[in-house]
Amino acid sequence: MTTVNPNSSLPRRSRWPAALRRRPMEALATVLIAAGVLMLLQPFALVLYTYSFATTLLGVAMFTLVSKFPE
Amino acid sequence: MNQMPSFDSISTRAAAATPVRIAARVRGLSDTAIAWLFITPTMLLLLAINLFPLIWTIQLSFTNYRANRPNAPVRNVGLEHYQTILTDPDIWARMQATAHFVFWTILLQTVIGFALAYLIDRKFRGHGFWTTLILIPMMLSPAVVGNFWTFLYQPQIGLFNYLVSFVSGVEPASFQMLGDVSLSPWAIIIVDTWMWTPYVMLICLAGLRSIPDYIYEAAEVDRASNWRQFVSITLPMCLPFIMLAVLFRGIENFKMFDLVNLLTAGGPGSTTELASITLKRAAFEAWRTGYSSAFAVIMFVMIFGLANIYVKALNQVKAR
Repeated sequence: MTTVNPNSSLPRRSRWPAALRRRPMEALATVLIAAGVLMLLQPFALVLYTYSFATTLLGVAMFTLVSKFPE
Repeated sequence: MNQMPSFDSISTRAAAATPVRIAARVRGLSDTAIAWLFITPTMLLLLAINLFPLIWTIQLSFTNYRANRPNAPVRNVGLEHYQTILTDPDIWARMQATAHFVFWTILLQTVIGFALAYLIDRKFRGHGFWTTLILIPMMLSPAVVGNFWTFLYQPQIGLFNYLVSFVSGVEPASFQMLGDVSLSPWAIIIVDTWMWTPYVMLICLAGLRSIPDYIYEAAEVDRASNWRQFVSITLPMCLPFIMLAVLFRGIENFKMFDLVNLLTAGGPGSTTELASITLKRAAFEAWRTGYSSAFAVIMFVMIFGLANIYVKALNQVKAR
């Protein structure tokens, strides 16, 4: 005889850490990219210009990685 | 009576026309395998013309390779080129010139483009004709635009100088739009704005037409003023489309080359030398291929980052 599990239709709780969900991580990566571009184009401090590429590269790498994360 | 050929008859005829040996070979393949068979040539072509040059450029950016000395020994210099570019005040100044160009073109194009879209959306008599007329600059080649604006900016015979003289009373020959240090950055901004405002207008028009009428009708019932309707309905609902236009124009203008090269070629001095013109000079005038490859990689990463944000914004607009 087959038994019916009444909870089977409920969505399974994901084990993925809540802090690593796609949306907030994508937002963070977007902020990094935008900050990097602004640092590249700003006229105020050479040091910001120097670190602009590293910031954008980090943002791009992060965006590419987190876009594979679950929602 | 003319009858449309049925799909079956066409597919049957195509199957009959396929040589027996090929048909026998294809018949045993799954749908996925056939799909791969069709997309493989395109993928190979894309890999050859997009991915391979990119990987090669990244590799060259770590070397002292010079394209005009192909037989000279190539030395690995590590991150030296990146360090040089990212600590060079001259390159920083070129980036600021690019920022000035990008900021003002985007601001002017967005404001004028949205205003034009708002007017065209009123659907007055002859709005189709005016829409076509406004769209013409966008359809022209940058080479053509660059050449005829060079004539328009001529101090002696140029129409632009004559118009400024007509409005302000200043002598037409007393100023040079392309030869003056303070005016030339604005000269290229005017041309780019003239050419690309219609594009922004089209995107904003799509945004305005996507707002359902019943929202305005509900606002009318609530006795909302025209200004209130504009601020609370039109602008917020158009914002994703405006963002899209801003991002797209930002990406395009960050790598702007053709128009500026034709108008000023970076001059006078290096007043209008945008990042892409500096890159071209390093690559094909100084022949510093490794150095210019590093510069190209830096610009690529910036544009790739902006493109990621652009795609994200596009998906948000699609989801609306």
